[in-house]
Amino acid sequence: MTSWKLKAFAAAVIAVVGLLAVGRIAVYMVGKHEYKQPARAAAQAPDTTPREKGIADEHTAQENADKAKPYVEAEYRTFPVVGSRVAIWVVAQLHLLFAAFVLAVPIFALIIEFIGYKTGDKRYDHLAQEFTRLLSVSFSLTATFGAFLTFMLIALYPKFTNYLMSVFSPTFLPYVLLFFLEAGFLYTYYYGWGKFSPRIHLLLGLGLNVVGTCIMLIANAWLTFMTSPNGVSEKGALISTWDAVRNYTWMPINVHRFIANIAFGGSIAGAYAAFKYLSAKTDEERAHYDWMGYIGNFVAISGFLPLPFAGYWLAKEIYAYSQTLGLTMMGGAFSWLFIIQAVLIGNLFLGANYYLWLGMGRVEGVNPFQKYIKWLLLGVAACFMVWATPHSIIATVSEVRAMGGSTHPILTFLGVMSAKNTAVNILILTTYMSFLLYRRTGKVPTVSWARAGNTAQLSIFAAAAAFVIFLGVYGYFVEATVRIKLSVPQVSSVLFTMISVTIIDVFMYRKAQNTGVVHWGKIPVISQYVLIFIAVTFTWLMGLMGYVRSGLRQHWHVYGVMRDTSVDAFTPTLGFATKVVSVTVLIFFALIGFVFWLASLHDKRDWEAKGVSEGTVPLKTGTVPMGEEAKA
Amino acid sequence: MIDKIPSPLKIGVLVVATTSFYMYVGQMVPQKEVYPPVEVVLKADMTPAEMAKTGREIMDGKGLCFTCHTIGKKEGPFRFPDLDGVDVRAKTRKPGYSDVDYIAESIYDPNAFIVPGFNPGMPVINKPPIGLTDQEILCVIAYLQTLGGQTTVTMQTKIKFQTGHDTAEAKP
Repeated sequence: MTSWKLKAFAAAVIAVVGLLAVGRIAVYMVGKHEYKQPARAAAQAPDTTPREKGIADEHTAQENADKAKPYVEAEYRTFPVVGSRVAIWVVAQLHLLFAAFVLAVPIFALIIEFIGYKTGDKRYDHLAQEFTRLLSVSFSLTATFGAFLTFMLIALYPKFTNYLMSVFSPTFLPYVLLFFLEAGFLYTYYYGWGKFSPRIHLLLGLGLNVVGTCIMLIANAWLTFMTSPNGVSEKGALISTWDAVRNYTWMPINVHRFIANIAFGGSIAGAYAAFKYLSAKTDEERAHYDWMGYIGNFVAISGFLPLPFAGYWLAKEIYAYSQTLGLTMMGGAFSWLFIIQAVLIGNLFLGANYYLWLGMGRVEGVNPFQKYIKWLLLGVAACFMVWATPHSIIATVSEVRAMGGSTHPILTFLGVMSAKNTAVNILILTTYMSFLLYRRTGKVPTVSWARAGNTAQLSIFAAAAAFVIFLGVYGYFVEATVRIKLSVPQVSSVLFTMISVTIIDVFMYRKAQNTGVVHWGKIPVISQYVLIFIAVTFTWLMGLMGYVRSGLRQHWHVYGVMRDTSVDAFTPTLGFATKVVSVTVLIFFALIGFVFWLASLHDKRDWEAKGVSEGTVPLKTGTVPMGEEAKA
Repeated sequence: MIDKIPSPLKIGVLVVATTSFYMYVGQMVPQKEVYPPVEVVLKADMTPAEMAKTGREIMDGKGLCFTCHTIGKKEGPFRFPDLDGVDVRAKTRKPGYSDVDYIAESIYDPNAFIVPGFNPGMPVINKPPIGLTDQEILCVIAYLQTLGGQTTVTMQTKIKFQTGHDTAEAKP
C-alpha cells in the first residue's frame, strides 16, 4: 500500500475513533451531568392498605376538627393531688399572714421610734430599727405570695376571678400604684435610718403606714364583697364599684384586721426576740432581747384586749347583713369551731398572763403583788372553762338517753352566749389587772391621794365585774329582743374600766419611787418559749378564723350571687380544716424562721479567709493591719 | 440533758407540738361535711301528704329553716318562734288573714309582721342564697299546716306573692 493510501486509512480510523469518542462524551455529558432545573418527581401512586387509609382519614378529620374548635372559657381547673380549694387556701393564708406582719411591724416600729424621739432614749430608736430589719424579706415574701395567689386564682378559678375583676377593675391600678409607693416608703424608711433628720424619718414611717393601710382597705373590699355583696344587681351585674367596696362587712373587717395585725405582728416580733434570747451568748444580749420580747408581748396584748370587741362588731354586722349567714356561723355547721377558738383564746390569755407573772421576777426584792396571782389564775381558769363549754355534748346514744337530751342538764347553761360573753369580758378584765400589777412591780406611788386612787381603781374593777356578771345572769330571764342587746353594756363597762383605771394609774405613778431595779435578762428561760407559744397560737387562730370567714359562704363564691359549682362546693369537716390550717402554720413558721435567720446575719461578723488573724482586714491579696488600710 | 439540745431544735419541737395539739382538738369535735342542698323534684299531682312530707324535707335542707326555728321546744332561750302548733296561731294572728295567707306572708315578706318578743331577721327565702321556688314554698306551707291543722293547699293553689315563675339562681 502506498504511503498516501496508508495515511488516508489512518486518517479515516482516527476520524471514526474521534467521532465515537465525541459521541461518547456527548452522551456522558448530556445523559448524566447536564444541568437540570429542580423539579419534583412525579408522585407515585400510593399503595395503601385499608387500615393505613383509615388512619390517614382519622388524622385528617382530627386536623379539621382542631381547626374548627371554638374557644370555650374554662370554669374551673384542677390542681393536682390536694385539689384547687386547698391549694388556693394555703397560698392565700400564707399571703395574708405575711401581709399582716408587714402591715403591723411599721405601726409599732413607728410608735417605738416616736417614744425614742420624745424621750431622747436611743434604746427605743435602736429597737424600732431592729424590728424594721424583719420587714425587708417579709415584704418580698408578701409580694411573691400575692402574685402566686393571683396566678392560682386565674388558673384554677378563671370564671370567678374574671367576675371579681369585672366588679373591682377600677381598684386595681390604685392598688398597684400604692404597692410601688409602699415599696418606696419601706426601703427609704429602712435604709434611711439615721440618714435623715428624726422628723423626716418619722414622716417616712407615717407615710409607710398610711399607704400600707390603704392597700389593706382595697384588698379587704374584694374579700368582704364575697361574703356580703353590694353594688350589684340580683343577677350579679355591676351597678356601682364604690358600693361594692363599701359593703356591709368591709369596715368591721378593716377595723378587726387592723387591730389583729398589731396583735399578731407583736407576737411574731416577740417570738423573734425569744429566738434571739435563746441563742444569745452574753448577758448583755439576753437583757436586750428580754426587753425586746417584753415590748413585743406588750404590743400583742395591747392589740389582743380590744380584739374581741372588734370581733363582736364584725359578727353583729354579719347578722345584720344576713340572719342566715350569722346563724350558719354561730348555730350551724361552724358552731363547734368556736369551741376550738375558745381553747386557742383561752391559751392566749393564759400564756400572756403567765408571761407577765414570770416577768415580775425580773424586779429586785420581794414582790408584794405576787400573792394576788393565784386569784387571778383562778379567775382566768374559771372563765376559760365556761368559754370552752359547748352547748351540746358529744355523747353516745346511751349517754344522751341518760341526760334526757343532747344537752347536759347543768352544763347547757354555760353553753349559751350569756355565759360566754360574761366569761370573755371577765377574762379581759383579769388580764388587764395582771398587766397593771406587772406595771406597778418595783414602784411605790408618791402622790398624796395614792390610797384614794387605789380604792377608786379597785371599786371600778369590782363594779365592772359585778355588772358584767349581773347582766350575764339577767340574760337567762329575759326574751331574745332584750338579751341580744345586753352585750353592749357589758363591753362598754369593760372598756370604761380599762380607760378610767389607766388614766388614774398614769397620774398616780407619774413620779413613783423605784424600790427595785429591773434586771432585764433575769427571767426564767421558759418565758421565752411562752412567747413562741403565743406567736404560734396567734398564727393558728388567724388561720382558723380566716377559714370560718371564708367558709361561711358555703357553696357560694359570692354569697347569693355566684354559686360554686366545682367539685369543692361543700363545707369540709372541721378536722380537715384544722389539718390544712396546721400545715399552713408550719410552712409559715419555716419561712419566718428563714426571715429571722436572715435578720440575724446583720449581727454576724463579716466573713474572713482562713488564716487571717484578728485585728487585720483582708484585701485582694494579703492582709493589712487594722488602721493601716488607709495607707495601703 | 435537755440543756444540751440546741435551742432552734427545741423551738421547732415546740412549734410542731403546739400545732399538733390544736389539730388534735380539731379532730375531737363532731365532724360533719355540709353539701349544697339537693333539688327536690316536684310533681303537679302530689297529694297533700306527699306535699307535707316534701315540705318537711325542704325545711330541713334547702330552706335552712331549722337553723333558726324549732318544733316542740318548750323552754330556754328562743332565737325565733317555735313552730309547734303554728297553724293554730296562724288562723288568728292577723284579722282577716287565713292560715295560708299568714304563713305565706311570713315566708315571702317576713318583716311585714314580727311576732312580739322577737327581733326581725328572717331572710327573704324565695331569692338567693336560699332561693325556694313557688312550688317548694307551697310544700313548706303544706307541712306547716300539719303543725296544728290540716293541709289545704295543693300544687295549684295561687298565692298573691307568687311571681309566676320559679326563682332561678343568679349566675353572672
